[in-house]
Amino acid sequence: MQPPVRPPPPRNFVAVKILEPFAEATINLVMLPDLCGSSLLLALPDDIFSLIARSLSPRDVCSLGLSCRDLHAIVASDKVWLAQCDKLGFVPCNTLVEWRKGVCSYKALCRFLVNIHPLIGIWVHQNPELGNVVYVMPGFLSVVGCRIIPQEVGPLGLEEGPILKSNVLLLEVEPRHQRNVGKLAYSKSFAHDVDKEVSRRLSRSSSGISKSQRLVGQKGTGINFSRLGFGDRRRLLDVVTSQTRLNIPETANSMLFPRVRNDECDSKRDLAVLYERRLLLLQMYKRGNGNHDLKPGSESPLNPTVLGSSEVCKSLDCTSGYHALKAGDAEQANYPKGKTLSGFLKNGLKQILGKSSSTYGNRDFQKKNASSCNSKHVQLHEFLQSVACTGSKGMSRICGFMGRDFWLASRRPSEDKPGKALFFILISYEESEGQQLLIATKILEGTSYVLHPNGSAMFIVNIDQPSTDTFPWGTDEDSNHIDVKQSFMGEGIANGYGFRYPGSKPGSLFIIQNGLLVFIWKESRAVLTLQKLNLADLLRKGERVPSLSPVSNFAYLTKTYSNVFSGFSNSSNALSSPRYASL
Amino acid sequence: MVTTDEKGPLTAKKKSVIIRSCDGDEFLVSESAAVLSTSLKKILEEKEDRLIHLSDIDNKTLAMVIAYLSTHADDGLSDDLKRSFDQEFVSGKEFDVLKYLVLATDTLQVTCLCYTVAKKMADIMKNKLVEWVRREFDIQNDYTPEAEAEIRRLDAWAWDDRQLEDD
Repeated sequence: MQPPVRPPPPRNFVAVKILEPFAEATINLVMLPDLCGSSLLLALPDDIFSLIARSLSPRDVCSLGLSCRDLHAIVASDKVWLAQCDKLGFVPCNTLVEWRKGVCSYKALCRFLVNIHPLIGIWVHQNPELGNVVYVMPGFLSVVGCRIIPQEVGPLGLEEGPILKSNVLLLEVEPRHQRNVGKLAYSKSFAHDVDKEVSRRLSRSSSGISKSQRLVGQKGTGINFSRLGFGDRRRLLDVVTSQTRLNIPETANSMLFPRVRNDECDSKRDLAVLYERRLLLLQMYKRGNGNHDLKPGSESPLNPTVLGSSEVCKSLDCTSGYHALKAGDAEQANYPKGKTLSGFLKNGLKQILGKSSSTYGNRDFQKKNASSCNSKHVQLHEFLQSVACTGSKGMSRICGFMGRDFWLASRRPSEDKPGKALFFILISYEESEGQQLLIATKILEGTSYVLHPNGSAMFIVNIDQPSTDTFPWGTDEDSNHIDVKQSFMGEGIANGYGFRYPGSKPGSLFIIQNGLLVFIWKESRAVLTLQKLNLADLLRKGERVPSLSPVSNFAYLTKTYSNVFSGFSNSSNALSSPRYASL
Repeated sequence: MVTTDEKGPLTAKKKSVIIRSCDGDEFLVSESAAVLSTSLKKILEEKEDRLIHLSDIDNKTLAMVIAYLSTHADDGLSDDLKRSFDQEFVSGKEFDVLKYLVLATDTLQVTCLCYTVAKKMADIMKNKLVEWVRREFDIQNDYTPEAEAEIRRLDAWAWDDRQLEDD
């Protein structure tokens, strides 16, 4: 289609003379400098330059700055880098402004955000089976990993009641010298043991190996971290974290990110507390508390093992790996007690590291998981990859009613569990034999023991095939009319052969007008209700609890958390939603 | 200007504005097109001026801006057509031309064109090597090799895996 382009009006318009006399106005807004050569970019006004830079990547902006000193000064402006930070999109603009007060520039902030970007999102470990969901989200100039504890949903529902969580991972940005433009530091808190809470911190040395060198290592003799043996990876992480940890007093960890507040004063107080905590951490870091081996800026071979930097995870070179293993053995001997849990936490960490090297590309894994026919370890690893890929990419392709930032929580009031166990279910899409499938994968189950392994597909529906079943109810508990927008045919999980080989029974998925998804098994009439949620907001409102003490069998916990907010309300909740609870 | 407007020739006169570029060329523009520029709109609201002199904008650039304004003032065109016109409008133009255009749209406050042009300029600069930047914009490298290496090292975090172009 050829767009209609109007010819520009003729010049030296003769009619002008006839129209006179008019008062003449002159616009003299900007003196246009005589632009040529190198001044071409320099001469652009600040606003326009920022406008252009907004569409560039951080790398493009850096390239400009590298061309000459004058341009370097221009691209260093906060305006340019605020736009870059904002473009990354996972920290809202007003938070950025708040964070800026703690670092030397928006460029430093952007560096931090770029580094943590691969970590942000939901992380699921299939082992243990019983809920090991970690949601990594921005804290306060930091990254906080929250483990969402298997629990029941309180009477107030998800929107009102607090959700329980404990923190397993903290990453903090640290501005060191102006020239360093911000430093990534890592701290990890072992919240299971209050007396001996250990926070760990890795810091990127400013004299760390440059990317080009790392790339050489990767192509040449380097070993991909994810290809290291299970035990080796753990030992490597052990030694890295032991080298760089900091002990952080429990009192400093009372708050890790601003809570959701309605009151302006409250949120200001929160921010003050967080600044305080950050200062404490920085001071401790400078003093080198808890770690006398750490020399910032040293050329230790372990320096490239910075968490949060994806290149690092991809390429740990051989020598540092072996170094690590030896030291790792010694290090483990020092912590015999915490071994189980630290091992477990490290496994989680390992998977986080592993994510960076995943390609985000292989979505077939989802299906393999659905059929649950792989060996345990393969499945575990692939499951993680699949979660990573659906979390990052897959959620965008949705039939028009879900954003990728939303996750689904589900209450499953079924006949055997008349309660309100909190389920987290990940919705993903897949194309198989020309059919568009919607797959709901369980990633958290809030029951005292799990019926199906994590990563089981709770249901798979064909979104090309409308269901012939009718929705069993016309009104909800408040007698409001229920308007079913769409329905699809599919199959839901059912008891099959053992724990790992679930069967499936036909059912239908209904999409209701307020965004609820309801899956109903045709025969058993069991109902699975799904609700969209914003996990980051929920966690900000949530209640923090210490981690459970280490146990050897995670599949059948002897100790569990029960949400006290759900404790007294079982009956009332059942009454408040009889429609769903009765099934 | 001939009009079939029933309100007569006086109204017709009111509906057009003359804009004069810095090189003295004059353009007759309908008022509906002129008011798409926030600067021109303000002037037209404040005074009953019919002749506006733009001392900073040359005739080539002004002609382009006016072509854009006239197209967007045309109610007969669908939004899709206008969008494809925008794409066509900036495509194939040299960086230099775009730069004058972006300055002119900034002066005249034609926000949407300013955004489109800035986007196009960014597209040209995307994924380019430093060497390209220097050559294209005729920039003299005034860094010492050590200083350049230092900046490269400090900026290493921003690097991604994309292949950069040199042309």
